[in-house]
Amino acid sequence: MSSTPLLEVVDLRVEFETESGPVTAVDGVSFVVDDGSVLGIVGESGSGKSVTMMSVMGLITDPNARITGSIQYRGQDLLALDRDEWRSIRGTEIAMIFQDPMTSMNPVYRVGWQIAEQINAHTSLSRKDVHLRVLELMHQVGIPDAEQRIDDFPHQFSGGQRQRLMIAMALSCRPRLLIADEPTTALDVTIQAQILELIQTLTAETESSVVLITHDLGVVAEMADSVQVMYDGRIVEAGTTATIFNDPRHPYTWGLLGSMPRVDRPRPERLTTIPGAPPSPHDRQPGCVFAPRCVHHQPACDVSPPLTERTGDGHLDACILPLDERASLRAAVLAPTGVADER
Amino acid sequence: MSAEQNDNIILRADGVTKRFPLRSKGLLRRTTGWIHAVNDVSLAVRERETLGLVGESGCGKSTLGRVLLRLLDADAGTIEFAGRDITNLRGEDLRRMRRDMQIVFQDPSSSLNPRHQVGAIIAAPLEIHRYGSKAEIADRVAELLELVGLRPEHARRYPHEFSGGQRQRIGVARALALNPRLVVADEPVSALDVSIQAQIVNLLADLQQQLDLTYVFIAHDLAVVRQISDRVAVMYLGRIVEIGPSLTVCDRPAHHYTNALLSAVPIPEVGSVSQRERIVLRGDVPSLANPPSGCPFHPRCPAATSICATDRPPLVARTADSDEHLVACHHPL
Repeated sequence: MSSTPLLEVVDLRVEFETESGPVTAVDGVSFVVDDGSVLGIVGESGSGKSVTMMSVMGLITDPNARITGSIQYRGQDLLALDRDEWRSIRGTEIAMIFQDPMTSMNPVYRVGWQIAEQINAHTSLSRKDVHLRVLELMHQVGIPDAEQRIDDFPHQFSGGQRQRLMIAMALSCRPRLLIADEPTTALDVTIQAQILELIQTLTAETESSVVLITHDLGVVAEMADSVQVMYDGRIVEAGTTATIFNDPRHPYTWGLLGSMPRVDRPRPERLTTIPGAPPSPHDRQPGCVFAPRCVHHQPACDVSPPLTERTGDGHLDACILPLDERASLRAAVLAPTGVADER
Repeated sequence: MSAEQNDNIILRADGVTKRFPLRSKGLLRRTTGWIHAVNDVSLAVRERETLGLVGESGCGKSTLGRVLLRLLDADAGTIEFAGRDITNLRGEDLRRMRRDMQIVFQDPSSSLNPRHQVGAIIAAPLEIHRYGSKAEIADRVAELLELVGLRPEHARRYPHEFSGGQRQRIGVARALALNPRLVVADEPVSALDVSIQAQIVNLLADLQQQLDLTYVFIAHDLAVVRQISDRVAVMYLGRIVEIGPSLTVCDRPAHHYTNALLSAVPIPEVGSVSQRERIVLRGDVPSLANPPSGCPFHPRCPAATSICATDRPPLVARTADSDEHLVACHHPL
């Protein structure tokens, strides 16, 4: 592995000026994506996970937004790029797929044309070669009868097929980094399984790195090498997927894991819940972002805990509770086997 | 359903079919075909139980929920509620019956009028059904808000002032206003964040206990359905393919479709994929306008044989000694 990581984000802060005052959507986020790795970013709505990656993609163009910090892609500062320089990065180096393919495809253009547009923007292939490349891509993402369907419109495809076409577009120029923002949230589980498998095989072939944004811890466990959990604009826990699931350290992560009903475990009488609702970004308090909803909250939590390594295994968390104390608290939330309830 | 359980059945559907016309383009809009959204469905819901209705988008589960409530008229079959045939109920009779059956919708932001105060939203069913004086209605609204974990003073606020989870609580309060016996909840938690989803699932379970409610819980998420349901019905292309006790259907499924659905649910555990055998179904769900012959699942089924393409398997008991667990498959697991 080279010394320069593929992507390095340092102290990223994204602020929006609104009528009711400034809103900090991302509040000092730092992370690294290595070559050929899959990073999962997990969080609920409003946690800042999408805004973080939209910044990396250069898609925050709101004049009221203020982005500070640094985003280095292979040593190049993305925040310093102008529009033309962005064009040489977006698509060829970094590509993105979104939750709803219907809103990111143009409904009045034929899908073949839309995929070809990507290729034309970044390469100088002949018309015939572009056509062949489009067919090859459609075939690769598993669209049956690509020759017949290349001139169809987006609405003529099913939701799962549209997501396949989005993936074809995103991967058309073999980007080194694919950002997937909730790519399967709108799909049924059996189709989700197909799409996740497709992302896995195709990115493995091109050795691309993936940043997967999702609220579904199950999807992350399946796909990611490392995970960061975001809450209210901050990363509260980050580490390898194995540690996040086998030895989670932050009370918010426990809450998330506990509130997911599971098909593979005995059925508990009740689900564990996180009390309260996700905070509004307007009323950010000093101190730990999760403190207002944390059942283990104590006075010391009113001092903002930094995301630091506390164990020597490279795992980061932002919680001030002593580690030995946390183990017993966690056991209470995440009993490995719930109470079997044969109603 | 065996005879001794007959007496506590609150809702029964028998051979219910609902189809929608496919019309040609142009002026005449001639009917060119039919979408059989619900096809010959029979089921019974027992008093105070939760029946989960699960399946992928387009399987007909929401249409069935609406037909059961008489929000849509069935094209064939009968619906019985509390021992009475309600299939053709009209006018005042239908309205009176509606007090006893209510619905909670998926998206609380589009099912609550943004221009009305929460108090007015919850009071609407009370006013329509002439619950009582203004003061009595206000008291009932306050009581309902507390019941769902909100505060009485919230009555004067507007829906946009609430979070998604709180808005769903308002939707639940409105559904419970008239003390219904049956609530159909159509994807009530799928628009919510994980931590909020768990709160609403627990709330629904608590309310069921307190108020002796019967639920038909419609969802695509098997994990949520398994958590809340006593019994589960799995739908595919407008038909029930498996029905039985929740833990039996989810932990020892008999239909290959149920098994594939379960195996596709991502598990928040490292290495879960390798431990479990995942059945990745090929292809998309076929169109309801042109459903496959024989067993509707046969084109995607890993166990299909020639008989599956020609003969539709009936929904029959999985074992001879119990008629609790029914499956429609020639080669059950």
